[in-house]
Amino acid sequence: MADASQSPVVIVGTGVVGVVIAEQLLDAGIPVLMLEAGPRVTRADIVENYRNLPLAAKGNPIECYPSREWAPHPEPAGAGKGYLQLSGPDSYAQSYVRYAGGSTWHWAGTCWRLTPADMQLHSRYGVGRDWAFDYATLEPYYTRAEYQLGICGPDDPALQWPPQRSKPYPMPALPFGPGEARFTEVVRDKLGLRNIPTAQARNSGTSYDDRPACCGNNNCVPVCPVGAKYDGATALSRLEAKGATILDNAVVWRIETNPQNHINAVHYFDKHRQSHRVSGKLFIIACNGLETPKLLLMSADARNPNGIANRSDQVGRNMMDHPQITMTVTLEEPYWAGVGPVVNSGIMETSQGDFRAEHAGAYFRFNNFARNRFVTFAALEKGLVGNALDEEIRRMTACTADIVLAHEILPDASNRLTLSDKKDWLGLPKPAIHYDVGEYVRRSLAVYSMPIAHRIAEAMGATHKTFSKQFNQSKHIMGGTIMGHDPANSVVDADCRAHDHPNLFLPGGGAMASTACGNSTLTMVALAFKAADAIVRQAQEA
Amino acid sequence: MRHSHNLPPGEVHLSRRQILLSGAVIMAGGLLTSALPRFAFADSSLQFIPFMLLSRLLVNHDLDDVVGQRMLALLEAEHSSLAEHLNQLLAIARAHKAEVVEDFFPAIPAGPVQDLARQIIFGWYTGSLTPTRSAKSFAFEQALTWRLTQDTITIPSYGISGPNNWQRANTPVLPIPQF
Repeated sequence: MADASQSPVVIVGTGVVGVVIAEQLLDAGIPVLMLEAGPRVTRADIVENYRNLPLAAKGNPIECYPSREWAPHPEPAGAGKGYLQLSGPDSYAQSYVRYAGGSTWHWAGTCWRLTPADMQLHSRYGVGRDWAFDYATLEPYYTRAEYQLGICGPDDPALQWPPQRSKPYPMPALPFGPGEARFTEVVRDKLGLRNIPTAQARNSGTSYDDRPACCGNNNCVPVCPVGAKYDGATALSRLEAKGATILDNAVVWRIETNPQNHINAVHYFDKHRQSHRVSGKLFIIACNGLETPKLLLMSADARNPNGIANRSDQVGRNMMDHPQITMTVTLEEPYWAGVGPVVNSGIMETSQGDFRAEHAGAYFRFNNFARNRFVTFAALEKGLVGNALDEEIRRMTACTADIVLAHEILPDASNRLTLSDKKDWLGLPKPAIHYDVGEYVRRSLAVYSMPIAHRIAEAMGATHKTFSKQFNQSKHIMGGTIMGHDPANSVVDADCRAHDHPNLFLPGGGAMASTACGNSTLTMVALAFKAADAIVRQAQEA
Repeated sequence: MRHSHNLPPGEVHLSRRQILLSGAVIMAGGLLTSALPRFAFADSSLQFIPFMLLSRLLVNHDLDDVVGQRMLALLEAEHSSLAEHLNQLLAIARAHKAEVVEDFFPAIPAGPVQDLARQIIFGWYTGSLTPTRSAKSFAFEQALTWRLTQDTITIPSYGISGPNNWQRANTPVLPIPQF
């Protein structure tokens, strides 16, 4: 059995990756201890936080999740202000939460798969890296991930992304709201583009996994008020019922090795700054794409002077995301974003093609957030009152829309996380990240994605359009513990096992060797299933 | 829109008789139509009734007294001359026989009195007094920006339909829902 000081398997992190692996182990009869840096809260707490935010703060999902002093995460004020030390031409200004359940608390639930081509960028296009295995190898794990999380998606292969599937989605696609329906019509009829239903971790028309059906609360980000969207927190009680031990407010700060350079233990601080040691046989570090490499680097010892699992010097390098530009359009006709889930469709076909030898692909998304919080202040600033003000708020809410251009990015060793000399409340180094989206992305914006965006705006009947002035982050943290066959240039093997330590697994977005354009979580979970199979085998052999 | 009488608000002084008359006119005009709940008066400011009278002239919608109480508490903490400015605004409205905001807003001169009027409008539409992330929130679903579009879109975190039941024809921008 697991207790607070030793366990056959120790999992650091209670986000979706840790949760999925824990359940596979528990189902195989293997006890687990899970350590979570942040607090454990209820859904009602987060919903209350959201509803009590002023209108100006409602657009930032992180505002509902105030950091605890001992577990800061990036936020505009409070303990997490200034947590990320950023440098470089572009800003790797991510947001994530260090709470039990992890950042799926505030994800949109989007679950695109990679395509076969997405995993073979180098062999097909001569750029980036190939994955350590092909799509056919990953496909069964995608299917398991879709059934575990409860993914809804279309039955028609022409609307699936990609159509290479071994099983249908467990639930049908969610319907489109009026804005998405109109957007789909105009890009199809005027541009020949397919805006397809998003595969998403949201219950469609039925309950699933003891969670209710989505009722279109339009609040998936920052929190689903009813739990119709999968988030890691929905699984924690079930894990405990199966025997998991979960310690919250336990900030792992050191990974300890033995003379054989196996992992022997981890050390964590509680919220009173007291340190504790937990020993085990197998260790899984799945505490976020930024926090995992930070912890590996912090744990440098005499045997591992560059940090744990870092003989390749690749830990913390190749930091990736989906650099995005938002186009805001003013329209002649009402679209009324804000009916149904916040992300419910996308144009994915623009992410594929031989052009990837020259520049990044892009995915285009009609954001379906209710527009009021984006337009009300601007309407008031016009000095209108009475009926004129009412009309302007309605017009701006109905007749404006955000279209997101999300790009893939290549792994680049100079996009790097290191340890800052700045310290957090516990005295642990803050993460420092140098970041440049690179010419591959900038060239895409110049010759590919931006021209398509202009055509989309014209098709929608835009009378005015603006673009974000810099690449913003999609909060899809990838690459910091990159996967590969060669221990000289990668951190983990095809099962997310550290090349340097046979009993250490680093599953999640950090292992991804390419980003493609779609959101990363489903691939992270597929990797978690693949790793879990290997961990179960290894635990049973031990 | 009615014509302004161009009364300089700084020179408006209300006698007790005028205030009583003003109240009588407003009541006769049906502007104080909602029966205030008892708790609304329990610990409320002396400014509550004039504040709500003015709010109902500045905003052409039904207003929630409880939200008004919360907003007034914040205004009182922020404005040392609140009572005086409320009275000046009410006097301008009275002088223009105002029933809706369009009747008297153009007559409010630029400066602190107009700033207060705009802030009150801002508060009713947004649920806070400033467009900042640190602003105190006193309303969410009651904020008028959401009510203006409630016939079509969801107030986030409040579903307006059942499972998979949000397909609908696109609503025209006008007319504005009456509430």
